[in-house]
Amino acid sequence: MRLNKIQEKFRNTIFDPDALDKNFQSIFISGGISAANRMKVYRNNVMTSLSQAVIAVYPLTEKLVGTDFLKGAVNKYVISNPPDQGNLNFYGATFADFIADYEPAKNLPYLPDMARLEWAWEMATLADDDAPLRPEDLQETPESDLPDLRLRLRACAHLLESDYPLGKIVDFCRAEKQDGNLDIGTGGAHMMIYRPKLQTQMRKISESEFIFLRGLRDGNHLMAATEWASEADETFDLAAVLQKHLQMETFKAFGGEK
Amino acid sequence: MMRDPEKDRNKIPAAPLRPAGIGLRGKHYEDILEQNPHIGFIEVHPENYFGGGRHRHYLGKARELYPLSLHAVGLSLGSDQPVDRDHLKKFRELIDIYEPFQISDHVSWSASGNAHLHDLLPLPYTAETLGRLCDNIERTQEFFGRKILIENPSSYIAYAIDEMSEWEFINEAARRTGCHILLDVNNIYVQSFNHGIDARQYIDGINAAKVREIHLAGHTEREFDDGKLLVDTHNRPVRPEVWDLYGYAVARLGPVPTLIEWDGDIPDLSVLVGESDRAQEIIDKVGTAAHAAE
Repeated sequence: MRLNKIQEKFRNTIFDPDALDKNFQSIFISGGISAANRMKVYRNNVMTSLSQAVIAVYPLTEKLVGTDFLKGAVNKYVISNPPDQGNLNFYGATFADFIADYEPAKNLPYLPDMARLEWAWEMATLADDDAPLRPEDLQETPESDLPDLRLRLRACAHLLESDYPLGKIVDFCRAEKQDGNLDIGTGGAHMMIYRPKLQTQMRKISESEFIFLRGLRDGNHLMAATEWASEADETFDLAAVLQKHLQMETFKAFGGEK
Repeated sequence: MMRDPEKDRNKIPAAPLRPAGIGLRGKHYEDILEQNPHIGFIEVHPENYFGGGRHRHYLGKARELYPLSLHAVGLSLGSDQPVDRDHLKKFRELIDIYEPFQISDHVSWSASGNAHLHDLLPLPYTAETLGRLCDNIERTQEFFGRKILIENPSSYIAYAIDEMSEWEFINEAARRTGCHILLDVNNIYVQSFNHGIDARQYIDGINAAKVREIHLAGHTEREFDDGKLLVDTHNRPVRPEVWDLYGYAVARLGPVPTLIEWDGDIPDLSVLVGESDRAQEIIDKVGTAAHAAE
């Protein structure tokens, strides 16, 4: 049997014990402990390390649904969505989409957005260290160039929009005791997750601010992003929002594109 | 500010003065900076530093205190497919920043097609596998502009189609590619138990001139209805039998940089340092005995 085939069969056997057929078994030394038992060690190693990697990203989701529920969902996720890269730290990006289609979670409609929030938190935490745009950098830009300016968000900045009050749900999860019920029908949320220095942070932002930042993130001019934000809220104050996010170090320094 | 990586790669830092070192784990970032323990070097998995933030911050601080070895788990050198270019790029970025005295990965595979299983899966020791492994070692060494070390694995199943012993396979890969060997003494012990190999014969058989690092770790027994296997779990102290075997290895290989690996149920930093002190004592004792015999 060629190496390619061996590795493909080995991979299949890890996710499905029945894939260990007679033909595949014949390439291993028999006698003593059975091949099926020996394969259990690998299945256990792989399932444990992949599941633990995903579960570690979703502590608030775990709090909301309980450890057993999350473990059950993650187990199914791992089998149907094995990692596609050699770094376990970036595994689990599609878990929110998985949970949105996961039948046992159908009555928890806010859960996919909570998972998206936690993934954004993890990605902000592990984002590349890029330099922020400083207020003086912008002061050096001639005023006539401003409308065509394309400000970019730093690699750590993630924007989230939800029909559910994510900030309140996060506070509820982080409280020492989860007393009573939280009303999830109190309106949606716009959030920014980012990491100015070493500590990841979550900020509630307004809808127009969200539209403005999303426009910039997607590569649009400052003018276009401002117009869209003003359509959502005619009191949108470009100068104030710019100043706020320069202070927060949301934008990426000019140049230095990798 | 910008350094010339081509130039830097030619300045590989020297091996540590004190051979015994420990793996640096996130739990000990603050402690290692505060306590500055007497250890020869630190080792980390580069994959944990591909992103920015806290991990790189602390690695940079720790690197000011200790020589560094980068020990990869994600290259999948033994896969029947080329090493991932993006993985190599990120890895090289770390080599340029942190200037490790050596870099390593395993004689195993973890990727098949687009699935990465993140385990050190066993290879059949055939001429075909040797060819694929050597291709990937060469791709990696060419990309980094320097030699790597390859580590002998623990395994829980053995192939009837093997054409050579594990140490012959590793020696041959090292001969063909010029790479060095990272000898995990615990893995040799695990192999000897799981597959009925003579551990001392293994150590005698490995090409001593190629060994540039030794690993030590704890393993765990796993019982089945038809027997018992040892599993390389890295979650407990090095076993007495493995310390004995380490003494035998040091007598043959000399004062090679030796790392204590501990990845699960990680204890206080002082416990890891204590294990590395024990390795250092064995190195010192063998050195004194050799000196007395001259």
